[in-house]
Amino acid sequence: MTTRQNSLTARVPSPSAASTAPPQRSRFLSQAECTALFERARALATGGGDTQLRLESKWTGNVRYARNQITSSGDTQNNPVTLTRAIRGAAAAVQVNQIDDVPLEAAVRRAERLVRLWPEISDDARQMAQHFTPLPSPKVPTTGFRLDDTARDSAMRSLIQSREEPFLKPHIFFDSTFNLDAASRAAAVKPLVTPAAEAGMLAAGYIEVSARGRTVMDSVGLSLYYPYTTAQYSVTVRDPKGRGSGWAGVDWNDWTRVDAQQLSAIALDKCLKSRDPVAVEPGRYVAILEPQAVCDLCASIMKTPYVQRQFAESGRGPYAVGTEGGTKIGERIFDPRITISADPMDPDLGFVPFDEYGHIYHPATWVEHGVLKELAYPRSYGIANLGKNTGLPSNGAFRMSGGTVTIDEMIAGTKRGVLVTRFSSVAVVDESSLLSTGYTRDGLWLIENGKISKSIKNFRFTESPMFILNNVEQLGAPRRVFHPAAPIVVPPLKVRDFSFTSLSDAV
Amino acid sequence: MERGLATAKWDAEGVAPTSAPLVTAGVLQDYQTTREQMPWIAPWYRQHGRPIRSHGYAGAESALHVTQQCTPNLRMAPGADDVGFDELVATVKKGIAIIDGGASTDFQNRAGAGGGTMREIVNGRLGDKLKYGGFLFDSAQIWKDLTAIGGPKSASRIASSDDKGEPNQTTMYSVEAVPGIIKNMSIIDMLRKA
Repeated sequence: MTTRQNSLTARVPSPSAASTAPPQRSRFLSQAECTALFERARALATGGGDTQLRLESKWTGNVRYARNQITSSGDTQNNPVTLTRAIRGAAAAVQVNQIDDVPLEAAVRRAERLVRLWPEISDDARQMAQHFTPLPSPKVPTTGFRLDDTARDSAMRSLIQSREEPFLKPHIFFDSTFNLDAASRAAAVKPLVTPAAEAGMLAAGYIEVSARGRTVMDSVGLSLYYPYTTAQYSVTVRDPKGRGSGWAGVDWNDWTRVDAQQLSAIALDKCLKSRDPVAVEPGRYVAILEPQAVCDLCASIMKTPYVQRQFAESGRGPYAVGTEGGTKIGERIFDPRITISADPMDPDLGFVPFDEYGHIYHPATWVEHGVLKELAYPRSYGIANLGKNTGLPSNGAFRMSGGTVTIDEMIAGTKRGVLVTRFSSVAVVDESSLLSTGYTRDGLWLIENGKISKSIKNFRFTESPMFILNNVEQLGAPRRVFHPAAPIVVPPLKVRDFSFTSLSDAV
Repeated sequence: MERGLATAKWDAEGVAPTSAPLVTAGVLQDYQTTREQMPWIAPWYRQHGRPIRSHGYAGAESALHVTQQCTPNLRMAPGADDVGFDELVATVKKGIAIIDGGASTDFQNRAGAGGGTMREIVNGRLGDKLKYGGFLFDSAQIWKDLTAIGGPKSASRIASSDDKGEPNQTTMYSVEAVPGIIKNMSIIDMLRKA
């Protein structure tokens, strides 16, 4: 269901108040509304079995500007419900985003029809689904079962959350974000554009805020709900003749932590200083990577599936040892100054304490002083293999430890190297080493004898975060970067032997 | 194009999409256009004596996304000689065959890189498979380096997508194309470092 609106005055549910708040129509659904929605779906079910509802109820508001003027602004509300029915050992899921009775009932009926399409069920699938639907002794055949991935995931994840598991409660809902309505967003743009316009440059930027309620509920007894907000701003300033380009951006839960004017000033400064780049030979360089560049290259080290324990044990990915189920847990994989952790309660990293399937996130230290300490795993793995009653999932969020060296000090100590603003179009080409390729973008400079000597043309690179994090010379203070998919806090790094493989003409 | 991924009765601005020759015999002929864009580029159409109307290529990923110009279904016309992939391979004494895979370009669609199943061609026959083979290209130059293309029997349809815009959205379109021989393609070891 979609609506667009210009004036927004709805009430804000909070983690503590949401469970007792009366049902209300808001820009996104409260816990009470999600519970009522789940109960309606549950009541519509026929044929026994169990019902699960997953929903990321969401309001987003945005404003985009380009060539120094606003080009679009919008508000969107959406309630994409994934509804799963599990009957006699089989499960099927249907998605719908209309939540009044008629489409909801149609979704329930459709899920039940899909369940009946699977007349024969294997032991394996029955075992999975039984945890979602703990029937005494399902009378089902044991061969020829085919369960689609969605249904399989639903059943498996319900297994994982078949018991209540306590979760952390970070403060990640902010009125400053929720109250940034269309008029406020529009008013925010002018001071962001003016300096670029006065300098004769062209600015293009994007502000997006959202308020959401994540819920996972099922008839086995799981009932999770958490409200949160997100805010992001990114800006590109370009020379009108295409001679230079600068960029800056960040995302937070709290809009007041997004210093849009400072980011705009950084992008303008980078644009002006990057004009008229000259070509220098590709090759191996000492590289000073700004935090955004570190994120762009290194985000893959904590991404699924690479960070999954089962993936490594299958002999795949950067953390595998051989093909016999070994992993690098306990081995030093990075420079000893590198520690990588994730904690929903980290004030610079806070995130919803469970994922869209109901996996609970726990504080984790993945790498400690360069040694791999943990890889992610679901609760079913913890029970079966580690004697634990919890899982250790990852959503890709992480904090990387840093140092105290400023970027200026890194430059001053560099005889010949390059300063990188960020990378784009980064793609992993070899999963065993996370070797990646991509391009520098929006500001690349040559450093000679301790000073920035000139702006240089962009490079294509071929490099691996697994190698670079072993070639660290200096680390700066970690800071939050632009990575809306999952919060990341990383330091600037000075690294040696960074491999730039060819020139790119793009500015 | 029937049943193409971008096929629509009307586009997101209510315009019935029309076929437009974008490149004919190697010469740029036209643009992919929407109603919103036409006032911007009307002088070009006036100059060329053409009607100022949208080709009907406005679209969006869903009703939740902003309408913008989207890539329509694209068709590369086959060559006059009805030759297929194997016959093209037979004309190459020494080269590399890129059999499947994918490619992407940089943020200005200029420099491109790709990989996939690649095999040597030796004396007109397919040879060994390249391990970690990849290729680099310049988006404009690659068309100038085309020396031969397949005929109607070699045409096939593939799915492609564009990611663009803020808020980000992905739109799909179909491409009908024939194989070609390209000289001076840069073949690389994907694991190569400087």
